[in-house]
Amino acid sequence: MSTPLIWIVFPLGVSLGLLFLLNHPRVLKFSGIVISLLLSVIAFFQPIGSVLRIGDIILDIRPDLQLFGRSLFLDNGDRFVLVVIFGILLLYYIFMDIKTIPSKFVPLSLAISALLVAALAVQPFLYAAVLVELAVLLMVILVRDKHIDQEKGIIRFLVYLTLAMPFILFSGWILGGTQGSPSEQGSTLGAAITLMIGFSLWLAVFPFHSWVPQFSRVVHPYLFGFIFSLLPIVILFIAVNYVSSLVWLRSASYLTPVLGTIGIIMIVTTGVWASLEKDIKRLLAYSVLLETGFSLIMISFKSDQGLVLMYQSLIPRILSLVLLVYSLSILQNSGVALTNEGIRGVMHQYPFASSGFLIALFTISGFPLFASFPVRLELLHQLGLTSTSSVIWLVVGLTGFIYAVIRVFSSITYPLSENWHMLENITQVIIICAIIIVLILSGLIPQLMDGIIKPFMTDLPLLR
Amino acid sequence: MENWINYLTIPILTIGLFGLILADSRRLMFISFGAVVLLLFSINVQFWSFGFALSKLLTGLMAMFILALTPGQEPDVSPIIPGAGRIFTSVSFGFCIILVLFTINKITRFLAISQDQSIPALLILLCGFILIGISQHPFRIIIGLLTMITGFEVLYSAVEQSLLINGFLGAVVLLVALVGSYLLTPTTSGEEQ
Repeated sequence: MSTPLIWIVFPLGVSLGLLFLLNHPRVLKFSGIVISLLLSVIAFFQPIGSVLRIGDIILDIRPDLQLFGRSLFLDNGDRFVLVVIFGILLLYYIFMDIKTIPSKFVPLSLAISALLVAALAVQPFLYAAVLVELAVLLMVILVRDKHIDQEKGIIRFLVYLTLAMPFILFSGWILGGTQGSPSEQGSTLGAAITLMIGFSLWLAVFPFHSWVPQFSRVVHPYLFGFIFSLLPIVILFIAVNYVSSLVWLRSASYLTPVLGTIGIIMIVTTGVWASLEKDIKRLLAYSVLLETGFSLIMISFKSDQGLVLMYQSLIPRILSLVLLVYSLSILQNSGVALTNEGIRGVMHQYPFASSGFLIALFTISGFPLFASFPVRLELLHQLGLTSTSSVIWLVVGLTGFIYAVIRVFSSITYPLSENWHMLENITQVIIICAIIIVLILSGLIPQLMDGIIKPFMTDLPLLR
Repeated sequence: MENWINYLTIPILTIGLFGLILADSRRLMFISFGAVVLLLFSINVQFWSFGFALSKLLTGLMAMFILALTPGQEPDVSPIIPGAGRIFTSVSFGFCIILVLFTINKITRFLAISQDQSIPALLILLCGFILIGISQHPFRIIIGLLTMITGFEVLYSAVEQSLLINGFLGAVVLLVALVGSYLLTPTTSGEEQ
């Protein structure tokens, strides 16, 4: 048995089968939970290249699968990202409300995850562009709601992500021709530029980010959260894998300043726009862009510490986004208008959803006591060692975002004359409290996150 | 150019692209897109095997038909502001033609493909970019995406012969048309967000 068979072919096959159960949302949800739990547990505990024993059955797990003359390759270096991908899937299945989230979510999200894993695994790399594009097309089907006019936001999403494909394919072709030889500087520079444009379009990096707030405004927050929990992380892993495999690119003198500057521009512009934003769903998009900006700065260090920081930041990032979209979904499904005016005093009716929403925003901002704080602090320290002006700009951007969060805080907690109620159900309260406790515990005891990542550290790609 | 017939084919294809950009009805856009795909086939078949060129033609036509069969669509695609808008779009595409003509030698050398293929491919690619960049109507944007991918496919298939990647690209064209058709289906309640 090979690893692509377990994490690509199997979920793809199951997702096809689940399409026949669209009228049974409970069965779909349960199947999704079981499959994603199984796949993430195998990825966490089973080293690739050794045998898997299930009772009397002994399975030899090989890292590669040949398909139409091409290779899909998943080794121990990919186990962490597999845990992350199927962990995200598990979280979104567990917290899925079958009354408000369409049942197509389960089969489509499983197929999207499998395609993104295939994009990570495929060799040569240029095929990843087409596989990501196929996943993007499935995402469009996933978020489309026939009762709402969403055309413009979704079409922008489709256009920007489709535009990335030619750039990535083209850079792959140039690199294939030159074999990345430093002697052909014109070609390698051309390849680097097209590659960067392609990845910028995928990651919605400045100046290709304008579609994200438009997209977040028209789609359900829960579906937006799922897509932006998964897509940027997988793309970042593809980018790190690819850059670390090309000696001339990872040693290029322009990589650090370009990535660092773009990251800081993203944080500053996001902070400024967030501070002026009145629509809460667009604020959700800015929080995603802020995280991408931080990730780019971490990669720009081109050091073990930078990448380890990026890997450590993933779990708080995912949990805070899950909490954010879960709380927003509760408010949206209850008919609360998701604007600064609409959420005024909403704490009085939805204390837990409001608290969850605020704590998620505090975590993303990097407030003390919350999970992102240790990572942000270390990032500022590392950045300060190389460039003080970058730290100042980063603080400017963060201040803008924190201002937006404080405005939302004052709006949500606006004193009303009516009495306090609790309109959330008990399941929602338990879920929100559980995530809040994990976020606070991770902030108080950062070693918890280190403990999760440590077993994978020796095999993770590093830009050395 | 290698074949004299392309001195005739490429100008007609360029007229077809102008038609695509300036068309104000769904029918005219389909006719222009169909003409472009057919003319492109007539060029491709001179350089590729018949089967390979035919597969590209069929993919393009199938994508067009998928979009054409979208239910509940109004015939008008409200293109651009009449008058000034049309002139602006035509001039933009005119600049693209000049750009292609002035850079074609360098591009052809870099890609190592014939001018007969690179000129129409680049014109189609740039026409797609103009449609995506200028249009407001979702239908025009989807056609723009398909046009852009069609142009890119010719350039890429000429340099990368892998059947798998070309098969994937064909699948992407069809899926873009399918997803476009799904998106263009009118909302059931007419509710707007």
